[in-house]
Amino acid sequence: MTHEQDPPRLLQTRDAELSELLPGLQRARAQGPSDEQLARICAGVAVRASSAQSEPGAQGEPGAMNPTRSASTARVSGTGATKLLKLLLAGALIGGTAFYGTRALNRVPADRADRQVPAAATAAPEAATQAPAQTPTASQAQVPVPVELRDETPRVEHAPARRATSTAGTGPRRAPPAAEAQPNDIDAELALLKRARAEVRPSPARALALTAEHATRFAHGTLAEEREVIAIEALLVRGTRAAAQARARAFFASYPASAHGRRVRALLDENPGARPDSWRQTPGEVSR
Amino acid sequence: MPDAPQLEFEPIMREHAAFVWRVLVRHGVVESQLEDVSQDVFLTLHRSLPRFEGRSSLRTFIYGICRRVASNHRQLAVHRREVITDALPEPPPVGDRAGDAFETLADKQSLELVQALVARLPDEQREVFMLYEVDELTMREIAETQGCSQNTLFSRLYAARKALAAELARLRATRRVA
Repeated sequence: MTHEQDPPRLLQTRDAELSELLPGLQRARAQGPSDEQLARICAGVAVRASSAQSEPGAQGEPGAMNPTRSASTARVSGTGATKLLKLLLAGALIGGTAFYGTRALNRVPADRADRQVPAAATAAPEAATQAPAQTPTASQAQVPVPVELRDETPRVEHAPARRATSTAGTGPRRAPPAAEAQPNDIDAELALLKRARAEVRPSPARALALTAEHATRFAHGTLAEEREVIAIEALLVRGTRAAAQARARAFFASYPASAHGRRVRALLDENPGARPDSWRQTPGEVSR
Repeated sequence: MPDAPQLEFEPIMREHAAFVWRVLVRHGVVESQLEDVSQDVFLTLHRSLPRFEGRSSLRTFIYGICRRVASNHRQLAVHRREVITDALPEPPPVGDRAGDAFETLADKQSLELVQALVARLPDEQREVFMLYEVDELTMREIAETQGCSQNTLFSRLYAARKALAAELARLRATRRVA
């Protein structure tokens, strides 16, 4: 390092000639992904790395889906590695080639919408219910009011009252987005789905219970799509193909652009319900 | 891969994500694509780490990946005919934006002022300036990334500072005095 030879940086010298630039430089230094975005980037990389063996330039045997192997090719070690392994395992949760990236891309606006919509979404229905009541009263205000209609004037006072309650109503509803998945939640999500994934073959029923738990605890979780893929596979392993198909339909309806779409279709194709090896691989399973 | 450094990957991502983000922004990746392209960068890094010999700093290694990935991304965008970005970011119409930003200098404008003025610098000056003043790379690291001597970089950095100071002086004269 030739650190000593480097001239002082502007934010150290606070050069008066460039003083107006300093706040902007400070701000520029702070630029980067939000915590949430960073969590998604890390998870996305882990997911993709776990299925990277089949991608060009990847190491290891093609088709090998062992996350540990993938991690070891990257010389990952130490405590960070255990975290990465967690993420890689999450990547292996769904198996197949996962382009988390496209999904994350789709998710960004959704998340933003999530954050803002509740106020708007709750206000909108209120507005809609108000509208019919309000428009007539508004026109009544300008149009000479026939005597018979004067009885309705109290409604004018009702309307603002209702609006007041409606805005008050948005208050509490705004809370959920604030309680929205924290960056740390992804660890909990991963742990839960990892358990679910591990149960798919030995006990699809337990896997389904765990995915249900995930759906309850992380209603707006980052890994909802992965959860659905696991659930669909568990339903297939259990032999409940119709239920799997129904869930897959719901999946495609909710996530039409999901990167896991291909995986779900492949699962349905690979598991025509009577695939013998899928039964042989589930020795402990007594479902059905 | 003999003696490949034992590196922990997730902390690496966390440590360098902001740097990657900024470099990608400067290399024309639009905001909506930043998460995805950042993933591409780290995935590439993940694969390349075994080949990383520690001869350069990890940051310069990552910077090289950013540049390649951003460039591929731009080409792919063109091939897909997606209007993600034309090429490198267009320098904004400096007169107005810089002037307005200069006037208010609110938090957000302060960044816009930097962006607007820096956008006017010649490419090689701009990159050195940003890598040094914002990303806080060492001159040696920048020399690795730009493939030129540190002396060249010093002169580029000083030229950039001088040009920016002149620009600010001009703005001061036109906006404040008037």
